Amino acid sequence: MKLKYEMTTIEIDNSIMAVPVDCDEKFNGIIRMNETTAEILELLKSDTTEAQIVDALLSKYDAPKETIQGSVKRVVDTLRANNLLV
Amino acid sequence: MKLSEVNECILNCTEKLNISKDIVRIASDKDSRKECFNELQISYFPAMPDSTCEVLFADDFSKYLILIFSDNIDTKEHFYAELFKTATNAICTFEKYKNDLKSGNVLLMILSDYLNGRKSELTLNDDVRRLAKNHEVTSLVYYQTKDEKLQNSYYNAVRDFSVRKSFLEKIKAEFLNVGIEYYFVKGIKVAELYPTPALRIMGDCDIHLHEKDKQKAAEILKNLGFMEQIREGLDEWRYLKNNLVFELHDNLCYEQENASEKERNFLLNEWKHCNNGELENEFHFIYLLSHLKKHLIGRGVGLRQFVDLAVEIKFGQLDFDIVLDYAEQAQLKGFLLVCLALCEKWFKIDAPYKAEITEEFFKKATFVILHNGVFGMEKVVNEHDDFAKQVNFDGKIKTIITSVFLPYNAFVGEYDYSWLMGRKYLLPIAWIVRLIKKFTNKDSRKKGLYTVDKITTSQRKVSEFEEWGIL
Repeated sequence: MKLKYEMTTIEIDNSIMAVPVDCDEKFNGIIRMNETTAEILELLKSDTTEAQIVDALLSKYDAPKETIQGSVKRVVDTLRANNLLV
Repeated sequence: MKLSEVNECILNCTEKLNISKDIVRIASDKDSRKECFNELQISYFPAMPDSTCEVLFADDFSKYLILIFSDNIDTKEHFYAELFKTATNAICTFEKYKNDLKSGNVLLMILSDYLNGRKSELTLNDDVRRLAKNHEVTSLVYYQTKDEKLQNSYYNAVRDFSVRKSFLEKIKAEFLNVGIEYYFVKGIKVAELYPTPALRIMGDCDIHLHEKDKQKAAEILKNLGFMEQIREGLDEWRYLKNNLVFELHDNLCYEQENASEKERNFLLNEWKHCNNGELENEFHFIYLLSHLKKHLIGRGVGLRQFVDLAVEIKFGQLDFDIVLDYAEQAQLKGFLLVCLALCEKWFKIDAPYKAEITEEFFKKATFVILHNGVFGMEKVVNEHDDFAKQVNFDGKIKTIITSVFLPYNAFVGEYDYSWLMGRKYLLPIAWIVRLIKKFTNKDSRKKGLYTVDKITTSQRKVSEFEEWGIL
């Protein structure tokens, strides 16, 4: 799986946002996110799996695997629900 | 109708509307009307209306007056109805203006806080939100106040900026590939200087390039999925995609239809002031000023354009000696100094040079700009602009001459001159008739007064332009 559209990220007023570029009218908004979500989105720019994302984050953060798995699942589910993944 | 009846109507009306009878004046002709204006120190007044009554406001907004034309009054009932309707409307409008001024000051404070990096500790009401919307500064106001009702506008601005930026990168890369020389102006250029570039709302992005490259650039935009929008009679080429609008221009001057010759000649040097896709900041500042002037004379400008100037002044690292020199060359020095003074007073920023402006002009300018919206959304003071512009740039005598000595074609379709059709040799007689009508039109008193008053109003506009440093 990977992001359906090209995403551009912007940081303003202490919050990070991702904006899909060149998307169809089905999603015409922005995604407000924290740093972890921003990293997940970055990894989703190229074809990957949930397990690969979890591994990548595990190697970077000292957090329990279940917590990271939960976070990745939440983000992936949200993106999928908004038709932002292929 | 007797004067006693007129007075009775006024008394009834003022009592019912709870306004003082002292502020009501009766004017039966142009001269007495002018006396009323002088007495109440009204500096702006529109042309005479067709209705029985008119209501205007004094400069300090502390009072209003109702003028009545006894000539137009027939029955007491008709007069009372007209008077009541006009006065009620006037009071509503007056209250709205008073509120707008209050809300406008709140808006100015928020914008000043933004420019000076301060937090705004203000609560907004609907009037401030409406003004912010009219002046296209909602995203800045949200950033400062976190007012929930403006949140959508903030996120829309962020989204539009991000998408625009992404496409601009692609466009720039493509232009570089095929060797197209270009530069950006107005919103897209000045946004880079804002403390938060994403929050500078803009309707379109202006890309300037050489005429020879326009077709190549158009193809690039179309290949990126932009749709071409052809607009008859316009020199700029327009490209749309979702919320984005890009415009291709090959000339800085064709939009500046009111520019003086010196201004045009200065702006025609655009490419001499461009280096590696960047227009020199000082030159761009003069262009912003010229553009602002165009809209001020035309449909009106709003606060966003002045915030742009303030951003350039504060963050643009401008060499003001160069700016002053360029302004002199472009015959915009007077206007520049007035704008710098206004920016300093409105936004509490330091302007290195400025004109001395009176408190009276400052109040009037604030009122005019607050009510104009971004491009004259609320036309309060611009109703005689076409005529005023003509007077402004052609001179009063020339205006009268050109309005009388019209070419043959201009008479086509005018009922009063139907006898001229097919008889071009009678044109000098038409001119004489027009000249006589212009100065001695007694049949249509109202129309005649209107014309005279229109000239007076326009003369007033000319003096307003002088105050703005435009003339």
